[in-house]
Amino acid sequence: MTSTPLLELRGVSRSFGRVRAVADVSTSIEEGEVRGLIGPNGAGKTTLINVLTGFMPASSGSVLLGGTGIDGRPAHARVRAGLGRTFQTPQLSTAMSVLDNIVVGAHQRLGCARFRSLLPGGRRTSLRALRAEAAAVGGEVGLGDALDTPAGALSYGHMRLLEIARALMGRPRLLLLDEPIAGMNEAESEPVGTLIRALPARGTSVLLVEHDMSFVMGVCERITVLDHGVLLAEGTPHEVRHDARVQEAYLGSSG
Amino acid sequence: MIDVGIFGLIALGLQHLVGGAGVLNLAQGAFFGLGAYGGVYALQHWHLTTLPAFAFGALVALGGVIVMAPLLRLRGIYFAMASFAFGAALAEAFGLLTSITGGDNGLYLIPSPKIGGHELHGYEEYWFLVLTACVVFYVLFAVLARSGYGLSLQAVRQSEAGARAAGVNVARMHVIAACLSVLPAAVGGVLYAQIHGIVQSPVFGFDQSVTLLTMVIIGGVLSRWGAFAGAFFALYLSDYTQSLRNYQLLLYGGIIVVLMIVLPDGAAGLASRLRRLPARLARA
Repeated sequence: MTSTPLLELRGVSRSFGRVRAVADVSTSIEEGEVRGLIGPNGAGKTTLINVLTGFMPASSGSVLLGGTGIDGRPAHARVRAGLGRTFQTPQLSTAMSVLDNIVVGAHQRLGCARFRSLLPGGRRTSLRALRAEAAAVGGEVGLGDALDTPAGALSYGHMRLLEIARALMGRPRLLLLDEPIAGMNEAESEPVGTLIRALPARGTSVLLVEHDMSFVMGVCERITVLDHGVLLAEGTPHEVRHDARVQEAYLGSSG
Repeated sequence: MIDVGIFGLIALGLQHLVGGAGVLNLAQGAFFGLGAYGGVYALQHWHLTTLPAFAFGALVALGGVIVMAPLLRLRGIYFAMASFAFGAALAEAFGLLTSITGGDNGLYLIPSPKIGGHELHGYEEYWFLVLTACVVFYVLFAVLARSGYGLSLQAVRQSEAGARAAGVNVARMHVIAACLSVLPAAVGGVLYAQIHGIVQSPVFGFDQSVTLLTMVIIGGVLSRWGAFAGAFFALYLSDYTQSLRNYQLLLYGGIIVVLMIVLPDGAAGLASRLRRLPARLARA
């Protein structure tokens, strides 16, 4: 008898017209795991993240978080259930300060998120407490010196860090990172790797989409490979690297 | 000057929705009407005093928001068009429901404001009442903007996808913002009715919605005090342009277009630019 996986995908598909961007993907992610999701361009990685986080409905199949089906739930309800995410192209409130952007990540703990929390005895955290927490999280991801900067003035790499910080404020059980180090040099990406590896210890498992193979291999214990929307292979970095189908998909050597 | 306060108040509500939430509402004139008719009904049929009339007018306006709520799923210009139709339908209803609204002829003999057993008379007392209402709502919106709600609302306006990823229920935020934005419109409606003593349905038509939007844009969509500056400007402008009559809306439309291009932040933007001017001159 194994324990319930943190996230379970059962035959998840997503089609755009006649194109199947994600086709019948089944896999599961365990609590405490840092899972890599790789694949050539157009493999359906971002589409899968959009489907899992409720930004896009699945065409078929179902998703279970901690054993509970979350299909049909809107994005904000999935955040409440414990799914955090970042974007390939940072989606930030550019005129707001870095600190305020991070605070918004705790929206679910603010008074206005749920009516019940406005009633007497309802649980809600004061904005001041959240600001202090946000400053701490900002420091953790390496934005401690930039808390008062408008988010729009950050470098691309720092915007990605800010997205991670905002997602962490929601205390996600699973964080889905969409290419967190794209556009970063090695000196910038290394601390991100350290940060990601440390997340399971604070109760956040990770699904990491990334193009940089050596980064994924260094950070993840298990890797899932998608190609043309289909789950091609799954296993340890070593297994995946030596999988003939994976090599073929990446090198395009069709024999 | 009293009207500057009343219309500034209604524009302040509109500013919360347009500038705060990024929702372009073209029905604020109709919500102004809902509040006014609701309040007058309570005053004339139930003989309530001003404060309970505010409450009932606000309740009627909130009812309007609930009916409009499904439209709030639309974004940008699509919502603007839908709200235009919504406002036009309400304005038409105001004209037709003569038993409640008196239609185009209007309702007369609306009692003067009465608060706590004291009946208000004269310019100064009216002005004091309107000013109090303006200050109360100004402070309310200023406090909200600094709250967690204000922060999340700002996030929604600037990046909807980002806000959703942060767990914000965007549709819910839009409905809350719309509810808050019609409260000053309803209070302004009751004040208008009690101070003028008469309401006629054409006051709450599409022209009014456009005029209110013009006020917000003249003042600057991101500025609360700009709503009052815009009301001041638009009302005095309309005094001078009475002779234009039918061309007034054309003028307002023109003002909106020109301001959006040359002064997107309205009077408030101009003020902050002027504040920075000495520094820039010193540098030059």
